[in-house]
Amino acid sequence: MSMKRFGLMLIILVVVASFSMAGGKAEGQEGSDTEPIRIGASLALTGNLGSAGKSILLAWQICLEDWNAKGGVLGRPVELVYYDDHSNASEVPGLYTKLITVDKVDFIQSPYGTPAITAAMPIAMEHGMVYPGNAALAANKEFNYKYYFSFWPLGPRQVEGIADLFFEAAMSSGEKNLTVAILSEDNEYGARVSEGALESVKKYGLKVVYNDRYPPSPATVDFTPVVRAVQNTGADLFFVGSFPQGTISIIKACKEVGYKPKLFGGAMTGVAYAANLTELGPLLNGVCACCYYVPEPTIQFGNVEDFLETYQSRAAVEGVDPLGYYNPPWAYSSMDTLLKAIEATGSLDQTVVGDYILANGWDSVVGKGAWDPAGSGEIAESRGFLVQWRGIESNDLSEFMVPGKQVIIAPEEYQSGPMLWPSPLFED
Amino acid sequence: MALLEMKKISKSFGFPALQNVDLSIDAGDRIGLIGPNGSGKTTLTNIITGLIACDDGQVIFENRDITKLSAHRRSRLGIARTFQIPQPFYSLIVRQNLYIPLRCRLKSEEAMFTEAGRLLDLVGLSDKADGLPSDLTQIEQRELELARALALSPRLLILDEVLAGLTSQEIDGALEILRVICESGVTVIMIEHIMKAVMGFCNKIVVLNSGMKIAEGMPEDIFRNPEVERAYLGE
Amino acid sequence: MIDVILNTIVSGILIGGFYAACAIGLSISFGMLRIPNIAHPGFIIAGGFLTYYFNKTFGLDPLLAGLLIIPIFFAFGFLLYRGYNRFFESKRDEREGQMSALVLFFGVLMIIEALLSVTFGVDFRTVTTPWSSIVLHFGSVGICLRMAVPFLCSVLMVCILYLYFSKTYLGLVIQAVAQDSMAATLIGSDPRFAKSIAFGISFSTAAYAGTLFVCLVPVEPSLGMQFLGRVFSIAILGGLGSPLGTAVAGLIVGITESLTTAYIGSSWTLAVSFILLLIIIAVKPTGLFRR
Ligand SMILES: Nc1ncnc2c1ncn2[C@@H]1O[C@H](COP(=O)(O)OP(=O)(O)O)[C@@H](O)[C@H]1O
Ligand SMILES: [Mg+2]
Repeated sequence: MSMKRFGLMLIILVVVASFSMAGGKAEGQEGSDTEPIRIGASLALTGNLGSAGKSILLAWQICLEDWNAKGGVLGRPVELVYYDDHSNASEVPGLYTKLITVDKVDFIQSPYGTPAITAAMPIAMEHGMVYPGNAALAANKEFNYKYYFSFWPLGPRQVEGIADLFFEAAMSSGEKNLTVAILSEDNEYGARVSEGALESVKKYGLKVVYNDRYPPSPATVDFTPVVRAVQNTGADLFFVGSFPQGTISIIKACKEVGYKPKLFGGAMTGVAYAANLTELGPLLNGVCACCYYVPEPTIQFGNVEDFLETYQSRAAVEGVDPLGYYNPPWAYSSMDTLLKAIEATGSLDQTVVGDYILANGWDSVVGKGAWDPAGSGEIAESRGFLVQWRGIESNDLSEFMVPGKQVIIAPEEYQSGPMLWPSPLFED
Repeated sequence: MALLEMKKISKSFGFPALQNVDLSIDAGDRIGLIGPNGSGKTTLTNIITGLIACDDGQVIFENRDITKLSAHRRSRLGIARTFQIPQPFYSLIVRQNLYIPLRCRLKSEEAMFTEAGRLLDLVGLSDKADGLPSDLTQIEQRELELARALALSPRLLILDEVLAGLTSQEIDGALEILRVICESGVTVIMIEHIMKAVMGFCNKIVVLNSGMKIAEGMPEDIFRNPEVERAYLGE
Repeated sequence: MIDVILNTIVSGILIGGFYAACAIGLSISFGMLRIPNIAHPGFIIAGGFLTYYFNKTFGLDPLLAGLLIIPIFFAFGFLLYRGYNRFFESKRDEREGQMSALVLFFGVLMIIEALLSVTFGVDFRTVTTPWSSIVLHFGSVGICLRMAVPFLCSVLMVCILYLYFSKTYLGLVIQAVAQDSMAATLIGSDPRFAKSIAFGISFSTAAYAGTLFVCLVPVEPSLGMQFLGRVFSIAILGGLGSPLGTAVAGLIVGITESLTTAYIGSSWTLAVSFILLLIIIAVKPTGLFRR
């Protein structure tokens, strides 16, 4: 190999390496005499879950800035050490092992999403780390890890929770003999959604006429065949568990093949992102999805509005999801609760801090509450609700920042308007 | 005036494949390039056509120094060759195989069509013009190869063992075609092991051995040269 | 009943055409030029994002925006081949050159993803046009323009490439150079020029396939990496280097997927098309249309 050639290979390798190896980044106060307290995590900063990962990162950064502005935790600055897991759950265990054993972080936060959170659970357990979860569906089901704390608003009936809301709403129409189609993405999330939907359907005595999973995007580019297959069953209720790309494509496909189930949606993720809301615009009319924050008067959670104001002003600048209705309030609360526990116990010991969180529950911008007494690590009472869009006239983001367009139809305690039945789908 | 002149050509592949070879070819010559296997004949051809660069020396074609010229430009100047193993373009029909070289000198589709017809006629392939090369026999493929080289309207044509494997009748047929080609003013270098053909066809013979030119001259003289006999014929 | 079959097949044909548009450039670069450009789907996504950018910034129709970015991609491909030829191809050992090229293109794929993430963010982006939501009805068959327009553009693209490679002089030269660079050189073709053009064309198809992609579905920067497998299998199935073969392969995969989804279940879609690929490659190792 000639010298020139060797040099070239070297340059390529360096470039490739610098992009592929997750470059760990540490952030926080610099120039301080005291050693910072370091919190480690991996996040989906690129890849198909990048939107979520980036918005979580911003929420954490805001949280740390708030704490550091107040003088830190235990008088020490707090610092975040994070890696990009490229939305690839298989990279996650390695990154957490590295965080714990090589970077020797003091505490960890979970990555984003069910597949990744499940993947790092054994690592957290092995090292006895407190493991605050950021958006997973029933991640602790098989593990029953004592120090897993799920900052996710669905409560103990995780898998059935969303489906319950959806089918309960359908039942409230008073119509009899409704048939159900269940379609979900072929991944960990979709599997749990389908499982929950089947449970729930049984409870309400509904009849399932279609139940299938589609290959995760981008393997499925065209959703019209699968939607047509559903349409062909004539199902009254179309319950969907999808990731963002699927969500958008399935809604479009329904409109295109002219399928108008009486109620449509459910566990479609991604509809809370500004980019997707504005992409769909009037197509969302009549569609239902489980949400965790919308600007409806019945929603009064802690000081979430204050947080969102800070978040939105920062997000616009940093090119992160400008609304922040989905993960950010919970991600902030996840970090905040952890830091509060450290401060309160005056300890960096995992057991001490873990026991404290377990006993004192969660308390932050999303309000406060206890943990599921059954030990699932979920919050004791569900905070999720089902939204039905209506009156959306344009693809403008401002449509989604005012009350009355994302009406909560279930559960009763948050209901902000009547359910439209059958759904006036896609009408503007 | 020499058509092609090679001055002190040397090429090494870790061992000297050619050493100080001088060669001068006049327009109208029919050169036979002979020598034992591995003596450097193909390497010399590659240096003429520009497929490989020589380490040392000069190649002059029609008074122009082409030592540094790339292969495709040399071919456009009129240096053509055929391969030992025919290499037609299998995805193109026979006629289109000729279009590629023809386009270097003809601009209109019509002219190319006519000229391709004439060349295929010359080598006896006119009825296969619209077929695929894969349907041709081995000999027909060689004829196509020859036609393709001629399509450049070359001044110098190098034939690398075109006669190998032919029956003596077929050889006579092929030599007949080659004579027509020569008469049209093309200078030929023929690399060949079949002595009868070389003797019958060439007016001058160059002998290579171990990368060195050991003899050059009229066919009759060459075969009386004791050195040639030792190196080559005596085996 | 027959309605469902018809509609399903039509869907398969429409999406299959799009697949062909994605794979055809790879068929040229990998099949004809033997350049293992695994960054191809990355360039498709880049084309998609540029189309999105032109659409959002200047309000250009995406199909038009796509035409505007073609020259950029062509020039890029053309120049990239020059560099590739200089540093990877003009090595005596072709194998070694190709292996290091794989590393190169893998790096390029990741750099594209990183650049797109930095420039456009990691959100899903798509282009919606006035025609996107129109559905035409032919008897019981419904055809939505969101699918049909990319299909028609893909068909056009395949036809243009087919005619280019089989009818124009430079197209013939590219074919000749692709098959036997040395023989082509010796009859007056400049292989470096021909290959630069071909690589430029390959990139142009990536650009336009990207345009069609954002019209069809939302895309995000990492989609390229995820789309690699499908694009490669269609290119191989079609018999590398054959535009028509790629088109037929795209249609076969599209229709198979569509029918599987409708009649066997969408969870089987990938498995069935993969099995089909294996069978065809086992029966005809050179793909469908190689000659
Ligand atoms: N590209 C090459 N690399 C290394 N050695 C070569 C190359 N081409 C030819 N040779 C060697 O050079 C010598 C001359 O080969 P060649 O010109 O093909 O002989 P001929 O055609 O007279 O049989 C042989 O020993 C051959 O192995
Ligand atoms: Mg030889």
